Amino acid sequence: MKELDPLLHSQLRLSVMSILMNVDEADFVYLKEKTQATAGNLSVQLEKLSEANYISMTKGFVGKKPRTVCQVTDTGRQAFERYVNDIKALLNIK
Amino acid sequence: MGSNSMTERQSLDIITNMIQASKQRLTVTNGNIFLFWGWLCVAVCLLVTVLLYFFNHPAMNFFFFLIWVVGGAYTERVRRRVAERGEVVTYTDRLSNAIWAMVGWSALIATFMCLGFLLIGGKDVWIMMFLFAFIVVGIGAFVQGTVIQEKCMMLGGGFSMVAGAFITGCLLSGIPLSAYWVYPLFALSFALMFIVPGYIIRNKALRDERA
Repeated sequence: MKELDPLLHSQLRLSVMSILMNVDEADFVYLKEKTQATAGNLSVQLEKLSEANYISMTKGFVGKKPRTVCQVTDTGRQAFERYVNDIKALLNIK
Repeated sequence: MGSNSMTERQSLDIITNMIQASKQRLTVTNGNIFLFWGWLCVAVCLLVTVLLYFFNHPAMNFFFFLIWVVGGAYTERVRRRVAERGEVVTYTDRLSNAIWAMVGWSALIATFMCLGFLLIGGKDVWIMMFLFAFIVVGIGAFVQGTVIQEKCMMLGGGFSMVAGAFITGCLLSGIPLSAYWVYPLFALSFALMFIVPGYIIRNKALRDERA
């Protein structure tokens, strides 16, 4: 049986990827609100996705406040599509 | 939400839920930004027309700079507010931002160009800004209408472009332009490009929210 991508097969990382696949870019505050994750946990999971080159993170400032913007990369897009196809295959969904 | 593993079915549920959660933002804009710019341009234009009527002095046209001052301050405020509450940028947003950044920056450069010509005696050069507003903003509104699939905005943009072509024709044919019909035409164009579509988009957004 085919193994699902362990990096994506986790609630929070999959949620983040699902959102980012749907939009062009989203910032940390938006992702935190939509996933209802804690800042610390989200930060760790974003870092993991970034290390795997599934997402890119750009850190900047709005006024004096720091702002992190996330965007899905081509690698991440392909991994997500592969993951969805694998799930479909496992569940026998055409 | 934790980062623990789950079943395949749960994975699909998460994907579906997150798509739903971010879908609301994908239904384009709520129309407020169009309403703001539409009302601002119409109000300033009518103010200048009234001032010209009472004072009959070309310096009244400098009140058009209110569009830059008020519009710039509002746009910056909106930008900060959005950034504070968490921002998501869709492909539509990116296209829209690119359209209005192009229109805005070229309008700003054209304004400085006009000021430069004014310094060397070209007092009628401000007509260029009107042609710019009619034609370039019209193209912007048409493309924006296409991007968000709002026919009313496309028609408004088309009307503005035709109005711009008409004024260019008048200029080239030596037909005198008067503030008393050019300015109301300007106000009408902006109402058709931004105010009418703005209310339509806002109503659609409110309907979607209730659904």
